[in-house]
Amino acid sequence: VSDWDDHVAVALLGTERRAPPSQSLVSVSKSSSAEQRLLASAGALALYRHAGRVAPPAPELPVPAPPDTRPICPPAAVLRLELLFGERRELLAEWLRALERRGFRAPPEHLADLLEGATAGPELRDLVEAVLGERGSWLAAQQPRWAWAAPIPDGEDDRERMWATGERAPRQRLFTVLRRIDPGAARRRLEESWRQESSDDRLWFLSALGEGLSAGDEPLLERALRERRRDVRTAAAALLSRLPESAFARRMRERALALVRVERGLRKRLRIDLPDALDEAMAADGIGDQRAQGLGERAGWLAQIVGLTPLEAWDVSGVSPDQAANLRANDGLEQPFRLGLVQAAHVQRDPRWASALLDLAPALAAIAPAERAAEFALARLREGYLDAAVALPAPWPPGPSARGVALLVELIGADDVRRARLLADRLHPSVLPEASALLERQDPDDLEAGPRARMLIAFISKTLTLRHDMYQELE
Amino acid sequence: LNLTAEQVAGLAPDASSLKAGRGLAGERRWTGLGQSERAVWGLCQGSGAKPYQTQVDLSVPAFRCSCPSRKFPCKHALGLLFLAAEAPAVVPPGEPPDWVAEWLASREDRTERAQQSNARKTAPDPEARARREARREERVTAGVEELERWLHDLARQGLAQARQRSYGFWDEQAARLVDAQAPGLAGRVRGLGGVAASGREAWAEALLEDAGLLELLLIAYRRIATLPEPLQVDVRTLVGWTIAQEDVLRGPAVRDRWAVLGRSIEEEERLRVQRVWLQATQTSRQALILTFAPAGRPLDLSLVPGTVVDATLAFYPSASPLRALMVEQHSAPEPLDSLPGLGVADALEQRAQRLASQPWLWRSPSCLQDVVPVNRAGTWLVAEPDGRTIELSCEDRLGWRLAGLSGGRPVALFGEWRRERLRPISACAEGRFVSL
Repeated sequence: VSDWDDHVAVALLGTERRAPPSQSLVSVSKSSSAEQRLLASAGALALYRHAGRVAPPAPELPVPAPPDTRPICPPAAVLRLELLFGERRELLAEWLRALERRGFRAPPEHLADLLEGATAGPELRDLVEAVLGERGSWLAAQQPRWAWAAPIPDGEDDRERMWATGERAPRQRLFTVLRRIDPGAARRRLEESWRQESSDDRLWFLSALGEGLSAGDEPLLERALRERRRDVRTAAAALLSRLPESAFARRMRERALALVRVERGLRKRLRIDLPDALDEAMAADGIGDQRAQGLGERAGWLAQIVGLTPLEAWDVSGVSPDQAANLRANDGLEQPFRLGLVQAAHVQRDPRWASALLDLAPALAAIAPAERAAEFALARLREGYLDAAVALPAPWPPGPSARGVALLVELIGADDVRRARLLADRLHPSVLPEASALLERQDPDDLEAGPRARMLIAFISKTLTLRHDMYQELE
Repeated sequence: LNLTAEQVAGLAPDASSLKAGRGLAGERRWTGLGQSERAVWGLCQGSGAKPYQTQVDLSVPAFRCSCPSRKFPCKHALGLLFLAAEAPAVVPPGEPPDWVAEWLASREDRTERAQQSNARKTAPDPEARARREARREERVTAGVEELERWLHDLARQGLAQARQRSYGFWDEQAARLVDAQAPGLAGRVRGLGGVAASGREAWAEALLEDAGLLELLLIAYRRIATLPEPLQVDVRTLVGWTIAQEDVLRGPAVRDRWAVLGRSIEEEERLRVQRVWLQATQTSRQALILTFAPAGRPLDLSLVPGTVVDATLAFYPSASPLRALMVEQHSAPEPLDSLPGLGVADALEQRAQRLASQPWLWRSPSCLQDVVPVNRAGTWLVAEPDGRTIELSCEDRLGWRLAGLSGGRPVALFGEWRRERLRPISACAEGRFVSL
């Protein structure tokens, strides 16, 4: 080796500054120049080094991944995944969802790309995690960036050590997974370390408490409600409002029912009083922390109280979701009241109430029952609004999808690219062949948009075929 | 039709064509579908009034479509082939309609004319040919002498100084060698320039290796008459003489079931170079099918990695024969579900043997059996359980892909040598072949 290094040193400087090494593997005639001796000898050494190479012994190998039980998706679907990665990434989430529903796991050679993609785009994480299989979580454990998908240690001691001394990402992962398998144990860990956690971490852990939330979490949440940092308090209050038996929920319910009553006369209507003042107890429960836009101060307090009151309180007091959404009140106070209800439906993820409140907040389509939400999203699209359709991921149920086909043709006729593309991305796979056939019969020249529609038809047809094939390949 | 859907996918010039082609693989898109032994055809309704006439000559394969696409093959041809591969029942056998028959006939005419003109071209005028050859020998000899002086200047002034030179320094010397009709040497000089500009850590070592090998090649050329005969052919080929395909085809042919182990494509200036690596399943002999395509033209995609074909190859003469031509394919490809590999020590021994018989054969293939990809301190390597390791020449993303594929268990790995590292090309795990 040193012989080779000598050659490199001479070659770098040049033979005019340094004489070539005297030893040489090759015999070059004495008359040859120093340059030729250097180069020929270097060539021979290079060969000698490469041909005579002895491979170094193997290092300790990683512990192999546990065997997977789910099958890898069929070869055509593997090819599809590669295409979706290249372009049409917007369909990746739908593909992952379909993969999981059909009981497949992602092809092992693409796990790294999926992990990397979901690291950059956290909205994909739940979907990717669901199709990783044993192999994927084994892989995630080896790259710190992928800690969000890594398996947690088996032993209690190892978990304890990770919780006590680990980096932020593995601790978050530990908490998330524990919360799924033993919510109480996860919370107890957090209770023990709460005082040492930074306020950013406190906020993060509160956001993860939503999974597996139960009455046992109340003391910790009450503690968080007394934090200095406002967004920590707000998060704790929202979680407490999801525990109808909690003291916090009881306090809110009492406040709300004292302010809002149903007047049963000829026409049912609401009688609403605004809170007179922000008393200490209210302030301690987080009322007044946020200022609702477009509302006066007292109306804002009302909206917040209603927003943090368990929705079932209204059912018990004889106000159905439909009535709550539609009844009028004195002095136009139904407006802050409804704002509060929408907030509560979002926080409590209540499908029944979301369904009743869709007109007030189209984004609730994500929570409302699928059939109803899709019908509503279709109606919104027809009126020109994308909000509900954006909120409701594909595939929509077959019934509303079948009715959506006619709208799709209409939208293409009107050359409404955004709406047409959105709808084409959402329809149920069972209606896609029919939609394609219908599109093919469209003569662009008959359409209002004329020849311009040709490109749109071509694009939408491609989307429909692609999505159709995507599901077929997973059968 | 002998093609599988995977093979059809392999014909696509790019990902968007592949996707579009898949989209056209539905029966309702097509009318007038049919196939014969030689061809497949159909009419595809596009956005225009008149359907496109799409046809594929399976014997080559060659494609023709009346659509305006400049992609080759176009999505219609791909769609037609997908359909024929996946739903043969809807593409009934039959006589080609006139528009297909005419095209096939014109193709035959063209082949014949080409053969005739070839025959005319090679019409022997031994004297003229000898004169031409003698002139070329003189030019090459002059070019070699000049290159020697240039190379020695390089060594005299030092590699550190050479590294400061602009591209022009290397390109001018390469151009002089092209003029001297020694294109092989020209490529090596451009290669030196590439290493000098690469910015890699061990650039000096790599540059000295390549310059040293070039010096050895020049010495070998001067003494060519003293070399064993097969090596003489290698030296002349490396300098830039080409061997006519007819001469290769006239040589001994090897029939075997050849596993298509992998494909690598490199972009050169106005050219794409494709290497398809084969390995005989009976004798483990390896072969390289080297093809070129000008930028924008399709590569020959008839050999699909991950398949096995019964075929006859003819090898280019060499002290370590590797490059070959496809003489005849006797069967449709079948899927390959394992890679026939060697242990690390044997693979290194095989490489050493090759270098010993042909010292410039640095980019040789190796197929490793039962190795585990490992990431050690940011470098990827493959290791045999309780055995030895080989470093990989791969970017991080490829390393992680491999790691996912293996799951910490041994896989078979095929690759090309890049100096002391192996560049992964394909792998096989749990019966699945994956191109990397």
